Amino acid sequence: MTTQSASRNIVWRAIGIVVLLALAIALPFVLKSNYYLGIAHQALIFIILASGYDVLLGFTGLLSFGHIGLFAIGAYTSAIMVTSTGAPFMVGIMAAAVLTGLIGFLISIPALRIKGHSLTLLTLALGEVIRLVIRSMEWLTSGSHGISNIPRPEILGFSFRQAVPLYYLLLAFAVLTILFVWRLRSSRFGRAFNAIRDSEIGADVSGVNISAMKMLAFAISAVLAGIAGGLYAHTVRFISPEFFSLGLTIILLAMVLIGGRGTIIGPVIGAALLITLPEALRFVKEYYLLAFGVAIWMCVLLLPDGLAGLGKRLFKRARTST
Amino acid sequence: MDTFLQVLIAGVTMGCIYAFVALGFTLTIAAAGVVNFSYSEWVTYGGFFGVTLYSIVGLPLWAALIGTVILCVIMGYVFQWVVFRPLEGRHFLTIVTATIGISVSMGALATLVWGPYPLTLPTFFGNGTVEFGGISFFPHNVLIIVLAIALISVLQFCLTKTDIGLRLQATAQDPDAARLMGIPVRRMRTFAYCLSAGLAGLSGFLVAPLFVVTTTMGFGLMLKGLAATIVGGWGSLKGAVFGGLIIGIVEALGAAYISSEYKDVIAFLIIIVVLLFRPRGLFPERIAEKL
Repeated sequence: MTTQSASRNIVWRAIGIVVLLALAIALPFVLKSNYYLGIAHQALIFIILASGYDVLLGFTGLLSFGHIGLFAIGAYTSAIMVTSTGAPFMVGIMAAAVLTGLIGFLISIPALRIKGHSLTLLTLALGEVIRLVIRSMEWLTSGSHGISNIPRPEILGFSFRQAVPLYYLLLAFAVLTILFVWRLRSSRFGRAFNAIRDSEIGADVSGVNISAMKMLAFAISAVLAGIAGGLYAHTVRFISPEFFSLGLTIILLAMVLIGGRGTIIGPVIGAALLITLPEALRFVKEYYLLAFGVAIWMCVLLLPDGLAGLGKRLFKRARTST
Repeated sequence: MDTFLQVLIAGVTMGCIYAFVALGFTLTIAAAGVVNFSYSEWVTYGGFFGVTLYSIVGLPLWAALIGTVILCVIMGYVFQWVVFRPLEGRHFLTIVTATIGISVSMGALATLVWGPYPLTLPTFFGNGTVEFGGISFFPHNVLIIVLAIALISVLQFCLTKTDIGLRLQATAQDPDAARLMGIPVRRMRTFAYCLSAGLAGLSGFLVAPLFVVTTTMGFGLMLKGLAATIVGGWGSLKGAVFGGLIIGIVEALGAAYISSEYKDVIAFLIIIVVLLFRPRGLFPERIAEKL
């Protein structure tokens, strides 16, 4: 590739980002009803969650089934802090981020010794234990009744109770997350993550500190899950353990895989698609699920790089044919 | 003491079911390297086939059992051609996600066909309990245990003493070497899938009278079966049986004597502890893991 086409590539990419951002900012002017804005809120929260999950799955190649457990801990931490002690919203979010980061770090210690299916099953078990413990600790989490009436965010006296300001708050968090993940990918750490994914032994002999990098990947994705969890609790205003089930783990996994793992835009596309589609196709729910499952299977077989990879391929083909 | 024995019987019963599920789950791992996360739905379909054949078609219960197993074997045969063959030899992540996708679709299909409401299946012996030596128990539990002992002995005999069993073992250990020895690896794998599906149908049918038949019935069972494969050793058939029994018994005892609220946590805690301290399980396969 010549430098000219490389620079043109950057221009195209910049235009794409600006258009996407402009669309995201303009969205509340199009979506008038609170119902549609509620879906947009969910999509933004899941963009944060999926981007964090991609750090683990796409960047580092570690398949964890316990990520929703961290999301749940984030949601419960912030909800309990704010409803029972009256702490400000930002404190709740910070507490959620710190706690999930710590737990992600702790999970990574045993996870360093095991790989492949063992790691997946270990994290699956941890995620389920987290959910069941939340359900059983009634004195703290009010068990399967869940926590309701969680206040909407309020920062320095400015209330985000209305749907439109809340949308922009969530958008800000999502953009910050995407920027962070983007910077992370091109950093020293991001390259180390990719090296571990592609060949752990190769990375090891090239001087990558495997243990430290895996711990870092777990901790970063856990912190993002915690933030997403906190935002979820304050946006939806009601959380219960049943929401954070293995089914949600599957949806999260599908978001990253269908969108395109290891990319920045992939989880964004995947999250937006898999939040809006089920809402749009609510009247044919079972048929949607039927197609959803087959879509995952086909996507894994035919589009290993997801929609982002497909876009890239089509773009390249168009370039070479002209 | 009587309650202890009663709890033990309940635990062994569930342990036998878990052992069936774990066996079926392990068979495809051993023979084809496919971790089949849609196994939960296979078990669920076993329950639904049973209900359909008994209540709607009107077959007697024993014929419904045989019919269920046959239908599941056919399902396994079709599935291995359509769904699983393209996955063989792929990366673990690919296989797991693809089979999860299939499981989602099968679950949705089950809801479309049989509806979201729980269905029931009677036992062979009615709902009464039998009193024996001061312990009361359901005859159905004894049937499950007896069937498990019989079936696992037959399976053990077939795998270690007959020609087809030895071929299956050879395929599991090293498909390439097996192929060079003239073993039809493809056919052996087909056989393993069908056996695995048959076991799913059997466990779905047998567990249906203990619970109700719902679309999520198989999922909990598969999680316990997974726990059993971890405890017993990944890919080990012997481990699957003993792992299932251990999980069933520990779970029943834990629910009775520690806390019934945390009953479901027990299996997961066992997974975590075993993975941390004996990552290869209690009965590890002797073959070294491939790089």
